[in-house]
Amino acid sequence: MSAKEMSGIPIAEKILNEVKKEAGILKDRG
Amino acid sequence: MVGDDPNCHHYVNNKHKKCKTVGIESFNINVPESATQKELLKAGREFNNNPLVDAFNIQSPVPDNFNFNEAVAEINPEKDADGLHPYNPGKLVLQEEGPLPCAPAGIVEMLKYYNIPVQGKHVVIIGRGPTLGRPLSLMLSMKREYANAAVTVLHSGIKNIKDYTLSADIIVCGVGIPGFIKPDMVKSGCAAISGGITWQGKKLIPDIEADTGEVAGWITSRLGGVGPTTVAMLLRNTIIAAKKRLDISGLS
Repeated sequence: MSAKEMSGIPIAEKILNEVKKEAGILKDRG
Repeated sequence: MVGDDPNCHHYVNNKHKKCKTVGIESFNINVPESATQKELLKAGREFNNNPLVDAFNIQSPVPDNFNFNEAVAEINPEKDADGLHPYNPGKLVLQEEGPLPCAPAGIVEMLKYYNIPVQGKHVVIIGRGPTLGRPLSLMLSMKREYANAAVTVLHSGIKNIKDYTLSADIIVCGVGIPGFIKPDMVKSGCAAISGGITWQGKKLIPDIEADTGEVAGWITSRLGGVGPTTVAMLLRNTIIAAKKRLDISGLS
C-alpha cells in the first residue's frame, strides 16, 4: 500500500487530553 | 440505551470507559426492547431534569418499535451530546455555534490533523444521513477555515457513482457497505475516509476497500479510524455543555 494511513487514535487522544484538562478545572471549581 | 444489541453495548461501554479516563462521571438508563415509546421519552426527560447531567445521547440504532427521531427531539438541546436535536442541525445550517454531530466533526478534525487541504477542493461524500453525510456536507462547504470546499453528496439515487468519485480530492464514504469504494473508483493521491463500518462476525470491515490505498494518497486505518474521533467529539460536546451551563468560556 502506498497511501499514508490516517488513524483517529492520536486525534482522539489530543481531544480527550483537552477534555480531561477542562473536566479537572470544572471539578476544582466544584 | 434501548434494547440489547451487542454492538450498542460495545459502543456504550466504550463511551463509559472514555468518560472515566477523562474524569467525567457517566451512567446510562437501559430501556428494554419490550418497553414503549412513552417509556423511552420518560427516560430522556429523566436526563433532561437531572441537574447532575450536563449532556446525554440516545445510542442508535434503536429497535424498530421505537421512534428515534421523536426521542431525540425530546432532548433538551443544551444537553444534546450528539448534536442531533433538530435545533442543533438548524444552528449548523445558520453557521451558529452549537454541538456538532460527532462523526462529521471528528472527520474535520482528522483532515486538520493530517494537513489534508480542503479549501477549494472537491469533496465527495457518499451517504446523506443526518449523522454523517448531511452535516459533513454543511461543515465542509462553509466559508471558514478547513472548509470552503466544493462538496458533492452522492446517495442511492445516483447510479454513476464512479463518475463523481474519480474527480474527488477527498472521498468520505458512510454507507455501511463493506468495500463499497474500490481502487478503480478513486484518483491518484486522494484522501479516502471510511465513515462507515460493518461488523462481519468480530471483524470490522470499512466502506473503503483496503486496496484503494494503492491509488489513494491517504486512507483511514481499518481499526482506529473515524470511530475514536467520534467518541472524543461526544465527550468534547459534553464538556462544552457543562461549561456553558456554568457560564465558563473556552474549548469550543
